[in-house]
Amino acid sequence: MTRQQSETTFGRVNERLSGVLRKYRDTRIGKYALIGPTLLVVAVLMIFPTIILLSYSFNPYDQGAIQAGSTLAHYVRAFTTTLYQDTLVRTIKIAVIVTIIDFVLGFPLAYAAVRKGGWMGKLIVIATLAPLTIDLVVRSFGWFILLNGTGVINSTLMELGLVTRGNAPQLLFNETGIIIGLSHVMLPFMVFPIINVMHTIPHDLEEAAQNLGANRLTVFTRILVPLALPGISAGILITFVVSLASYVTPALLGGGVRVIPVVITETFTSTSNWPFASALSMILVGVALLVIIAYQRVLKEMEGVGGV
Amino acid sequence: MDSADGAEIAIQYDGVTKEYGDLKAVNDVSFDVKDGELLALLGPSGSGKTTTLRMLAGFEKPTEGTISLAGDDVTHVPTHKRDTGMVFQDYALFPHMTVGENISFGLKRQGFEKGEIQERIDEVLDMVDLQGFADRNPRNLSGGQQQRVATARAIAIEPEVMLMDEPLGALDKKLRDQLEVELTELQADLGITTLYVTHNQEEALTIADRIAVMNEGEIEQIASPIEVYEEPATEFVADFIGDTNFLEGDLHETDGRVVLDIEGTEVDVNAAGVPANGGAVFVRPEKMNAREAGYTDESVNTLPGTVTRRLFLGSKVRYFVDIGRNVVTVDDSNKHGTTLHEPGDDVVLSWSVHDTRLAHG
Repeated sequence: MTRQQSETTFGRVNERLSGVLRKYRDTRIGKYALIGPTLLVVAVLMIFPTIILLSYSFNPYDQGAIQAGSTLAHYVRAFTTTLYQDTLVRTIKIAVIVTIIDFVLGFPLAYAAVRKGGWMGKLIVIATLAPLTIDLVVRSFGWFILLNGTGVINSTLMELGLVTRGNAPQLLFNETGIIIGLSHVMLPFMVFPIINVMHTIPHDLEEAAQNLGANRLTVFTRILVPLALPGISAGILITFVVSLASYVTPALLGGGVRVIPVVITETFTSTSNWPFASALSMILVGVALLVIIAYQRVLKEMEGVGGV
Repeated sequence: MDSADGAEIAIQYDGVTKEYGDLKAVNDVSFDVKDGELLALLGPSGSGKTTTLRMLAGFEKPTEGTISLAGDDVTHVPTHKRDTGMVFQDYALFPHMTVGENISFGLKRQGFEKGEIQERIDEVLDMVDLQGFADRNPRNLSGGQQQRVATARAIAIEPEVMLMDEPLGALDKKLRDQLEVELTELQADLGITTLYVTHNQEEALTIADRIAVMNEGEIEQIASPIEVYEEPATEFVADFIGDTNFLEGDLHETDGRVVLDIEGTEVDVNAAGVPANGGAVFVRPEKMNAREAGYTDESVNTLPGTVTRRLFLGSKVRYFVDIGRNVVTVDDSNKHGTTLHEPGDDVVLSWSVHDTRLAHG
């Protein structure tokens, strides 16, 4: 078969298939059958384990074994122990800071990628995407080289005489390390939704605003942010929720400084206290859900005002 | 700053050049716009007219030269500090704001009070005939209405000059004709100096006080619509504005007369002399009449030819007449007594020496 023939054959088959799908989709059974596989995967891999964890979290734990019955003791322990309180606050704080940093870094990147266009825009997209092709663990070791006490950053600072060995900043195995690492990991998730929405905002709206006397800040707050809100809110939500639940980067770069997912993993793997680990997991899920719901409320309010 | 006839100069371009890499989008352009005048920048796409306009708004920085607004050099003043009001081709209305919020956007930047802003919104909506539209969403308006809102938004801030970039380009012919009239009336009422970019020569002829015809980044001619049409300075202007018959032949001077020899028939040309770099002789179609074969008149230019096609256009009859070297277009007005010629008929074309123009190459 020549290339052209195969192309037309392929086109015909394709058309046939989409025709069948279109018809099928409009029937009641068809609709459910089409989303069925996805539902099944989500149910098996997400909902069932969550339900199992939820039920574990109420099981008493005594003498190194899970007992029958039901108790709130694990939740009480999580909320009343200073260690866990601090860890939860730290986890949320880090997620908030990472989200802010990524918005501050990501918005200009997304803006430049769209407005500059050409090779500059492509370069930004590629540079933002490239880290995703490298494994998280490998990337974290990359940060070791840059951030450790005698690493590239500190030795450069010492070379420039800005710091001495004695007062060189501690960039690794603390919150700073986690924040730097996570900001890097999460940046694409902030940049791409904003790039998408930025493509839909005509440049002449910015020019019109400037022409009417708006400086850069006003153009940003009154034109770009309201119009890019769908992308910005998606970026912020993804960045925040995924940061909250991330494990690898904080585990490697945080050292002794822990976040909730690290504590959960340690509890699961190094003790047999699954009920307590489950309770911690549920608290994390609860925080994420709370934030998502509250966030959507706020967005709805804003939409009402701005008329977006 | 005053021009020769005493009117204030609102806009001044002095040796303005804009380069994009190797490309000279605008090449050494200089002109003045008088206070209250409407100057149309007319040219084909890529002629540099829009770039010229955008440099006054501050969206582009000239590579060379200076631009002055009301006597002040604004070449390096940022856009938001220049006192211009721009109407964009696709209006650029803020989709997340109502009509009223669009109009108040500029007023808020100027620090007006809430009450004043409301008054001003009503006032400008009244001017563009959109009373009661303040709470509407611009996305739900027709093209013509959006255009009016864009105009209202630009005049609300009472700018020193108004900039219009093909403001009627996205509208259909009928609406365009109507808005042309309304825009010119509004512009004249407000007495606001306006720079108006268009590629539509009819639009430019209708609305402009003066037209600057641009080609390849340079201004070919800057003059009143009548002068640009009747006495185009260059072949490009003659060709770009209106329909034109270029007559091919041997151009020379005899006894102080400039004469074009078309295959043995001599045609007198309305020119003082033959320019060194030659020139193009042309006659507008409506200046010519198609007469019966054998017609003679010593006081005008005449030329024999054969009708190849006839178009009956209602108000006029258009003939395509083969005159040997080329085919010319002749528009006869449809009046009682005008003889209709058929394709294949031999005719004599007649037109006055005055209308036989010479454009520089």
